Order: sequence, then C-alpha cells, then structure tokens
Amino acid sequence: MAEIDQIIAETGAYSCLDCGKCTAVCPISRYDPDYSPRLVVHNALSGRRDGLLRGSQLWSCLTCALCEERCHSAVRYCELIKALRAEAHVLGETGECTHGGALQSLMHIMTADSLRQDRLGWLSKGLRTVATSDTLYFVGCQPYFDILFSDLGVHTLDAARGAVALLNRLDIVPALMPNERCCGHDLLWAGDVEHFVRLAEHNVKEIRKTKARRVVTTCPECYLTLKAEYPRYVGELSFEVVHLSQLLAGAVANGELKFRRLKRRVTYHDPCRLGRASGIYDEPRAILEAIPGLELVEMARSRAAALCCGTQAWMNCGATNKQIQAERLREATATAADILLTACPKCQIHLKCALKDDSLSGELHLEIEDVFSLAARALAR
Amino acid sequence: MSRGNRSPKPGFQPRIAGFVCNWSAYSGVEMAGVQGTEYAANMRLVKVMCLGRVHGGLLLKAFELGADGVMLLGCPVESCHYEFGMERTREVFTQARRVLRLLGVEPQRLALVEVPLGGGAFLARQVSGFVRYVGRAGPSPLCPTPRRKRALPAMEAAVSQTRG
Repeated sequence: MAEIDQIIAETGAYSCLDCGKCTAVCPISRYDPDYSPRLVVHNALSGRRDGLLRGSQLWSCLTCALCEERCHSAVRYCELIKALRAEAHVLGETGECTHGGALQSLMHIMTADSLRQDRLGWLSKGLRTVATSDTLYFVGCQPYFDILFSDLGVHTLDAARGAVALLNRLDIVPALMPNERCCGHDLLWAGDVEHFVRLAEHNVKEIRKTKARRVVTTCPECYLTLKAEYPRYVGELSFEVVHLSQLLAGAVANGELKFRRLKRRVTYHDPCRLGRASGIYDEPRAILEAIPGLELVEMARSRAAALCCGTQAWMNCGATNKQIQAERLREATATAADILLTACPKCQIHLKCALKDDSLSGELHLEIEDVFSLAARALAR
Repeated sequence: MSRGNRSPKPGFQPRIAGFVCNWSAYSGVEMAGVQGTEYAANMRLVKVMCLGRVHGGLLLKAFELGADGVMLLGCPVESCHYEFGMERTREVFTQARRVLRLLGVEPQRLALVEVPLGGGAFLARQVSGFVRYVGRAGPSPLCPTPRRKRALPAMEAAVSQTRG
C-alpha cells in the first residue's frame, strides 16, 4: 500500500480536517446518503484501504470538483479519486458501465494500431479544412455520440460544424484528422492508465503529422486532457492547446468577430472540465455577450458554484444522477431562458437524457444547445 | 471501403461471433445439426432468450475481443416471442453499422439474418456465405490486442454483466 501513501501525500489528503464541507456540498451525497467524500478521505487515511478500493463508492464520484472549491485544506479530491481508481483498476475493479459498455469498447477499439477511421463525413459544404495547418481542430468523439445517442435528439456535431465555421470566419483553415482517436479522458478517470496512454501516444503522433502548432478543442474534456494530462503521461507537447472559447473571446474583443442579432433569452451551464478544472468562465460568456439581442441570464448556481451535469466517464449512472440532472434542469427553467447552453457534448447528452425522462418532460420545456452551435448560427452574413 | 493493404493471407480463417435467439433461430441451428447439414465452423454462438436483448455495446465488445465479423441470428420479425424484440434488433443493427462505418470497416461485417422456424439448411447457407464474405474482407482492424484464444468466455461474461 506504499502507492496509496504516496497518493495521499501528493493530493494533500493528510491536510484533511474532517470538517465535512465536501460532503455538505457534494451533489451525489445530497441524494445518496451512502456516499461521502469526507469518509472516502477518512478511510484512505485510516488504513481501511482494501474496502475503499473494492467498494462501489470510488466510482460514484462525479469528479466535478465542487468539493475542492469549498475545501479549506486544499485537498485535491478529484486527483485522489483518479489515483485511487487507477489502483483499484489494477485489482480488476471498475465502475458499472453505462450504455452496455459501448463507449468503453469504442475507446478500447480506438487503441488498435490497425484502425483507420472514416470519421469526417459530418463536414458540410462550405466548411474549409486542410490536411496540414498551423491550427488543428481536435473534434472529439462527437461523430460517435450523434449516432449512439440519436434517440435523445443529441446534435453534438452542430458544435463541431459551428467551430469550423467560426474558425473559417477568422480566416483560419484548420486541419482535421480522419483518424483522430478518443482523447482518453474517460479511460484515465476510470483508472485505465494503460489504454489512456496508448490513445495519447496515437493522438500526439497524428497531431505531429499535421504540423500543427496550435490545437483547438471544443470539448472541455479533450481540452483538459490534451493540455494537462498528455504532458504528464507522454512528455512535452510540440503544440499549444487552446479552447475555442478563448480564441473567439480574443477575436470578439479585437472586433474581428461580429454577430448578427439573435433575440433569445439563454442561460449558460458551466461544464466542470471547462470551469472549475480549467478556470474558463468568462470566455464563453464574452462570446454570448457579443451577440446583439441575446440575453444571458445566470442560474442560481453558476461559474465555480455550478452544479455538474450529473454523470462522469460513462459510469455509475442511476437514480441519484437523474435527480442531480433534474435539479440542474429546474434551475435552468427558473431563469425563464429559452435555451440552456453548454460548451460540453457530455453535458448536452446527460441533460437531454434527463429532459426525455417521463417524469420531467411534462414539467420542463427547454432547448439545449452548444455555445458554438449557437454562435455559428449568429454569425453575421 | 475495403483496404488494399489488408488482403487476407492465404488460409485466413475468420473468427465470427454469432448471437442467436433461443426460438426460431436456434431451432435452425438444431435442425442443421439433426440433419447433418455441413457449414463453415468459424462461428462461436452466444445464445440469448431474445435478440432484442443484444445491445450495441455487446456488438462492439465482440469486435473489441477479436471478432472479424458478427452475425445476429434472429426470428422473422412477425414471429418474435416477445413481439418487439426484432424491431429493437433492427434499430441496434442499423446504429451499429453506422458506427462500423465511422470506424472505417465494412458495415457488412455485421449481419442480421431472420431464420425461419427449423430453417437448418437456410441457416447453414447464410453462415457459410457470411464466413466467405468475411474471409475475403480479411482480419478486422478493430481488435486492439493480439487475438485472445478464449474470447468466448469474455463475451459471455459481457452478456451477463452489461445492460443496454
């Protein structure tokens, strides 16, 4: 268990004061009394480690980092969970896969050397892309999501098309990779470091071939993974990683990007990986504020206090998660917005799934759309 | 979409995973056995109570575990014992083929066959035809690790452990 001692030291868990503020704020603990971040830390520190690694609690955490916002001792709880999951994975433990394990299988398949995908069929007429460019657009798994979740009315590729249109408007013709692999975020957060590293190596190799010096993402999970995790696992990168909202917010500020009038009332849901994990709160809002006629209304909990979309890493989704999603959707409805905007394809999938739920569909009337899809719709002609 | 650099080696024996419904389709399997009908022996069968139970995750799992092709052997849609099972299967099948296309492999590596009650000879022809097709298409590029010798138990474990 020397590894666990090291994990505890590295994540600052020894500093825990046992105050329980983490549990008080945890969205899972609110609905599942058996789950307590405080107890997870306590068990890790007090030597009840076998139960910790073998138990189901480890996989329930949303890794949304709301607890880290409140922790006085700066315990890096999400890192602790991630590292403990890696230890549990070695013991053969895993969470309960959702969607019949389809996403897990897809991620494993994407590690195959022999794989030659054909994944750019979504590019519509008028979108300009090239094989090699200074700027690469890293699409993420949206082409797969739109097939697997078509029954939920999920259109995550609208954000990808929007992203290319927005880049083109700034006279950037991005490179796209026909054989881009999953970034590996969900494997890493499920403790499967070995397969994650394989995906990372594939992607870094492919990105190098495009000669890109800058990689732009729209998916916050891809952003965080490429920017923060790839250098940790596969070494220094030959490119910088930026989120499209950063690039666009800069262009809006310079007056390079202009929008036409779009009279809608919208609210914005901060994805965990973009907000709390990356500190990107202002940029998506700056884009929305630059659209004339668009009224942005904040939910009761926004920015660093934003509630999570309720599910993580395609694992352990159940009644507890559905209640978190319902809570978020009710918050969005309370703003009287027409559209709930988010910048993450996963948030869109999870919130649309909850919206389809029979017990909620009669009560809540909301459109859910990606920020970049909306911004592209509002591009001045 | 077949790729020139993947022409199969002579003697390549494709590995086929077959999901077979307990009712009409499996009666076809039994009848082929009773009648001594010969057909390609490349398929490993996983019997389920209804093909509607097989979700997309299991199809991808079969490819992940090294299947070169996957066959769904179900009942004629109007004679499903559970009424809607084969309709569900058709949806799953269409969705999975779209995913295969994105993954860059021939969608025909996944086949759906409706086997009539006791259709032993029909089943044998379909299986042999599919094995010939996959044999020409070559090894699947979707298997991330060297092919496992005992993939069937892993497949059966996936069937019993995952829900769609």
